[in-house]
Amino acid sequence: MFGSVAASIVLGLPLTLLAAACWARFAPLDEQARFVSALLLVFPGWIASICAFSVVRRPAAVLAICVAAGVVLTFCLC
Amino acid sequence: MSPRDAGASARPAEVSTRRLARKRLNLIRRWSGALVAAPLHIMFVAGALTLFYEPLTRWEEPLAQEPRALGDYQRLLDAAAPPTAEFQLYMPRNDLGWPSVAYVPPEADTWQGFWVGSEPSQRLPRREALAGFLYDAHFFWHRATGLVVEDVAGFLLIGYLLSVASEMLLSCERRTRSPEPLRHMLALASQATRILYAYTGALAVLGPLLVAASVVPVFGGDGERALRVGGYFAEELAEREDPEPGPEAPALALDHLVAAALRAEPRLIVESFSAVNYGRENGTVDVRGSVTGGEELAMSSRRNTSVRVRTLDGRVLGVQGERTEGATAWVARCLQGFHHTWYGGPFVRALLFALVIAGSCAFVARHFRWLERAGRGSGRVARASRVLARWTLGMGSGTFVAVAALFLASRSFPLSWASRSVAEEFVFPVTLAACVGWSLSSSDAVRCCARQLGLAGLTLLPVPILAARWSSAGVFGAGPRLAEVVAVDTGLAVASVALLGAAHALGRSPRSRSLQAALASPGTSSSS
Repeated sequence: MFGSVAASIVLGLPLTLLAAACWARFAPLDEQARFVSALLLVFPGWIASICAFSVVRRPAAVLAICVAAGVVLTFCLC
Repeated sequence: MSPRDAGASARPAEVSTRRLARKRLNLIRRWSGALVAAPLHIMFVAGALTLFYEPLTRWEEPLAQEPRALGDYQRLLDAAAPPTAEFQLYMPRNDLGWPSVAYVPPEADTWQGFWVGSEPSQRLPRREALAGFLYDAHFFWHRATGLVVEDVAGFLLIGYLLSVASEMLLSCERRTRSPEPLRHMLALASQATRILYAYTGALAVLGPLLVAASVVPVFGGDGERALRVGGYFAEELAEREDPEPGPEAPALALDHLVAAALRAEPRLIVESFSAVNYGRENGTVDVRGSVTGGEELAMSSRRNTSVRVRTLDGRVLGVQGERTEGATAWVARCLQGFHHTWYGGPFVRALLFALVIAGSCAFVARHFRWLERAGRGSGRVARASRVLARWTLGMGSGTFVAVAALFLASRSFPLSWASRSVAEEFVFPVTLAACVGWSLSSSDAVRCCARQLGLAGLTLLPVPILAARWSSAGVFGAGPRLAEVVAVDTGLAVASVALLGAAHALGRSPRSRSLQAALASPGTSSSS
């Protein structure tokens, strides 16, 4: 139990940062608006990801989701 | 398989997933709250007191209460003669108080300051640290403890938001089963003020880190563009790179610079100056102040407008205020305005103060109760929970004792004592550590908490009377009274009575007696 919660906290941050970076770079808004909206959503996004991971039954699934999403987002940014 | 059978087999899995989610959310809510409750209590109490920063600066220093007519700016600057090329010069507020100068000495890395008298070469070092210390303490005395601790404070605020979010989700989930969650939701709604302060505070502290982290992935490594787009959130990063001083060059008289700033912003009321590389070719002065009229302006712009002027030729380099456009500036103004409460009057501030303090105390009490329940078993987790429970309660009540001791020290130490401000600052952590030690070693943490609250009330009680030794403008002063000083004296008296009342109520509460009994016998298991 502790392990899956800790994993969701630790893995949720880089995942949210990557998602926010993608939003800040590709959202269909002007540069300031998309950057500041990404900035404002980082912490709520992190918290939401931690809460969302609490419904995933296995810690390995959390890890798999994070890795898969991280790879896709990194690919978008590169 | 019939549809009915399929539904019956799906239901246990769904219930099990919900139970698991509930368990995890409970774990997140309890442990994140329990770990952050005590340190956040210091932040919230000190932050709530910072709502009254300006009245406190008036109250704490008798020199800030003297009427002072202001001549021209350059004569004042000549009299002040700041010892460094980077300094801040503060004007009297509402024609009261001596002007003052703040600067960083070359061999030090902290700001120091002095008051500028009406006579030439009449300079008195700053003697009082109370208001400034409370401001610093609301993110862990970062001036002394460093920027890393400030960043930790930001993450603690995220921990608090996580605890509140998981509690909200649990309340929503439980609503289908009993009417009780409505009460929970109302209680959570009352925490809106603290949620707002926590979110805006976390953004203010961690915003520069986020901007720094986004330079490569978002801006392709273009730091200048990141600083420009990041605006307020990147200010701290920009300030870390001080411009190198250029060759010496005479600066225009300060009155000319003010005139140039007023041409750029005619409604500006000058309150302070911030100079960088003064007397150098690339020297600038920020003429800062509030803007009169302009009710249509954003609330923060009325309070926080700044015009940057080059000292060499008086050219205006920029106006920071309502004219700064773009989404980043707009969001920053809103966040700053909410966090610094640049709206409403003293009654709004008093209401926010009461909400924040009450919410913080309730948060500490709730997590203390959970920790003491978790500590009734045996094993390492139970032992850690017991220690954490006492630590949380000790920090909860100890913060009030430490604040009260700070106020008492502020009115007791002699004004002529050179080390007075340093000694004053150390009163807070030493008192807090003593209170936590008392709570940890006490066999009865709840009674100890009641005693500490009583001690805080008693410590605060003589402060308004002691304040009359140096200031005649307070409730017990003999001279003409100043509203701000009287308000602080009255507030301290009310706080003292409230603390004594809380101590009395906690000591007599039947609920506290049951807690005392539970804590006295930690081995007793309980399923509650």
